Amino acid sequence: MKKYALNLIFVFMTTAAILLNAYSCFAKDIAFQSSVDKNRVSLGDDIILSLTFTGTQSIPAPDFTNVEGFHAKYIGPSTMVSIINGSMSASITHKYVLIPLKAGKFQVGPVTFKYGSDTYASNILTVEVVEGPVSDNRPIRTAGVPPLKFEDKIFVVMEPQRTQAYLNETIPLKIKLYVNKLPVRDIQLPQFAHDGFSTEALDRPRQYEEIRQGILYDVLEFDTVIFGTRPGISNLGPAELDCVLLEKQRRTGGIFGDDDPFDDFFGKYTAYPLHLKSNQVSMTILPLPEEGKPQNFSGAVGSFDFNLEADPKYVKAGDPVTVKMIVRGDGNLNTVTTPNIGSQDNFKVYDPQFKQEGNTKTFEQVVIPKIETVTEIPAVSFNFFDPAKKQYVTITKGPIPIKVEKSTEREGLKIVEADAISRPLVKKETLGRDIIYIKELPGNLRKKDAYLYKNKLFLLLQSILLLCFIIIVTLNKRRERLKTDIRYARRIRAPKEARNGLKESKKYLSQGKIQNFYDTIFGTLQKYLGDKFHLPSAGITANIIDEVLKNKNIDERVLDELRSIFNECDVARYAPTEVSVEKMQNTFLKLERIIDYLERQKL
Amino acid sequence: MKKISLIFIVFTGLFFTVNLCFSESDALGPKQIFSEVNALYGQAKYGEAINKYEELIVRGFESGNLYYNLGNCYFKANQLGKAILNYERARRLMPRDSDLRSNYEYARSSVKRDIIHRLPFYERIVYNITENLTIDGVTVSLSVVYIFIILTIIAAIYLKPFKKYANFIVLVLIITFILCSIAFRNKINLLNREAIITVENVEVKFEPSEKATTHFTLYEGMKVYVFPSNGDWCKVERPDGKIGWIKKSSFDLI
Repeated sequence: MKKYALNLIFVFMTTAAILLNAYSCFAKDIAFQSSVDKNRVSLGDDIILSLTFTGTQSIPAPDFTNVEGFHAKYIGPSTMVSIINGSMSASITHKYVLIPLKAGKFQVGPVTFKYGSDTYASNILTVEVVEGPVSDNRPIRTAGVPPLKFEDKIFVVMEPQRTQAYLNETIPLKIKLYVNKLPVRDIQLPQFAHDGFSTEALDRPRQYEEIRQGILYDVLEFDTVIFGTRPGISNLGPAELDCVLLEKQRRTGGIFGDDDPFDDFFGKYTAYPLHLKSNQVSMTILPLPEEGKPQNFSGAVGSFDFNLEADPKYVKAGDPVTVKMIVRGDGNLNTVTTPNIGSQDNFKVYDPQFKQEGNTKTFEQVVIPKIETVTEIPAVSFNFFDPAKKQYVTITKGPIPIKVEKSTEREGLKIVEADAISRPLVKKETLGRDIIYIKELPGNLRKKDAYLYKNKLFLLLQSILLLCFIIIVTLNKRRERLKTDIRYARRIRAPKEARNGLKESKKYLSQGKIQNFYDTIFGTLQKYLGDKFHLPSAGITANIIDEVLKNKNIDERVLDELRSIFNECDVARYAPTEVSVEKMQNTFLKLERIIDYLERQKL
Repeated sequence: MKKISLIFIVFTGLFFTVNLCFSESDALGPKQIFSEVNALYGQAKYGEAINKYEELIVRGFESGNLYYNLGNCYFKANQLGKAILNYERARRLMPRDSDLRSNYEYARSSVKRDIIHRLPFYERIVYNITENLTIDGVTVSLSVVYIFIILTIIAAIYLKPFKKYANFIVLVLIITFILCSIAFRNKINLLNREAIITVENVEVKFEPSEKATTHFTLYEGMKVYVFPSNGDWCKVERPDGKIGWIKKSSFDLI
């Protein structure tokens, strides 16, 4: 079941990839090509015509039934996706059967076909129809023929267009991979030894079918252009190509048994890396003839056309004019260098810029006429060797008349130039070197090693500052606590208020006001104990004190004295009798002692 | 309130006392000697001038200008090592003086083989900032930052609206304080560690012995870092990190 699910996912992903690719191919270049399986056919036999669109898979079959000398019938499409060096290409081939109606040589095509806004035209094919039987160039399809050897089923061939060329002359080179009914994937770009040759990058490969020695092959053709850089005989190649060969293994026991419909598609393959080598080609590179060689010949070989343009044609002195030199034609544009602009005395010439597109190389050079008497851009000559004619050709274009007006900024220019001329005349100043004279004043004379950080007063000052800081912070903390912590605040306040109470009672004592004296003593004691132990002051009596102070580890004598004060106060306040001054004095001292004791005690 | 007034009075008193202590050293005698010696220099009597300047230093006085003038005298008397030594001493007291910088660089350019060690990027930044400050300058900076930290915290306690900015300000001030401390420590560490070679050339040995193998040679005017040691020999380090032993008589501490 798991395998089945995997298969389904694979189908989905492949379909998605193909659809995506087909969609994206619209934006790409679409190549259109036609081919036939054989060029000679006998009457009564048939040929297969393939119209291949590379770069898309969504083009419908062109209407292609009216062909001179043949009866055409559409068979159907076949699509192909190939991934080479990681880049994917898709193609669709529409196949037709052509049945010859009469003998003779016929042209098939060019097939023109309009799709969307684009028109495609194929190459022209020539087919010969003979009356008798055709013995050669026929695919071997009959049984009994011995099977092909492996080397004949897949191989690489290197085909230069010619084996003899002049130095720098371009030679088209084809590297073809032939495959006969073998599953091949991961085809890498071929590499080839090219000592003595310069080469360009390989084009995107073309794919078609070809009959070679009577056998039909799928061909992948890589095209490039080479040119010899060294006269003499050099070997080209061999071309080497890596790919992966798949060998199918029959699966047994799929989820549908041996008749698993996915077996063909997802059957197990074993991949074998394959390294293919082509033939080697001996090339003869001829040196360029010395005879008739122009003096300023720079190595351009081919058949070229040359053109010269200048813009603008009406300028002020000091303004730039762009001179455009265009070399167009068949040949080696890589060795075409900038043609020289003639007399440059009256111009300031900048380095040229060039761009190469297809068979055109354009040089753009900026020149600035220095003076207004300039009337033309001088003639420019371009030399090249034409290998077809086997002679040197010189094309001269121009001169191009231009009109130069006097510059309005001439004065300014003059000043700049005068400055530039006069500058080298100023001799470079040589300065003498010596030490600077001594100081008149002694400056800040001080004791040796009297560094500030060693100064005790300075350090003391810093310490005092730190101390002040600590005091301020501590005071602030205390103030904050007094504000928020009532228990703390009462405890702190207790001795101060007790002192005030004692002072007041002393006053009553000296005045002999017994009632007031005992009231004050009682109030002071109540308030003090209440604040000290954080209790409601008004409810404090001798009993409560007993309960609270008993647990506080207080001397028993003090507690007795406390009790006696409470008693004395009660007696004096509620049963007024004559009380001697000594007794009052005694009570006062007792209270003072108790407060003093409790203040010293850590409670 | 009374407390604050008291603190203020104590501070003001201390400040004036400190000032008095500093101004006390501006004695009249050395100034007169100084101008007299300057006249000797004008007459190209460099030897005499050197003696008089050195006398002032022996008496316990110093100033950037004094070391600078002494450096000039030594330079004119063709004693490059001593000249650079005194320029270096002057640099510690007036690092931003342009005359001093010019003479110092000129003297350095006369050293036979001067090794300039390129500091790593971050050390160079710290060096550039602190190079223009004297030890006292760094001390004052530290003190100022320290006072500001305290004032900011106090302000934050008493001025409630200021509290929200205080954390950030204190953080910045603390970072500044740490950086100043690093600079301060570096400067202090260099005291009694930097020395200038005062003899024409000296062979630096692998061991504190005449017979030991020579590691490298130091020339007059080169700066070395000295490791404290007892005896006649001293371990020194060249700015590029090479270490060896030389006799104490061949260098003077800055």
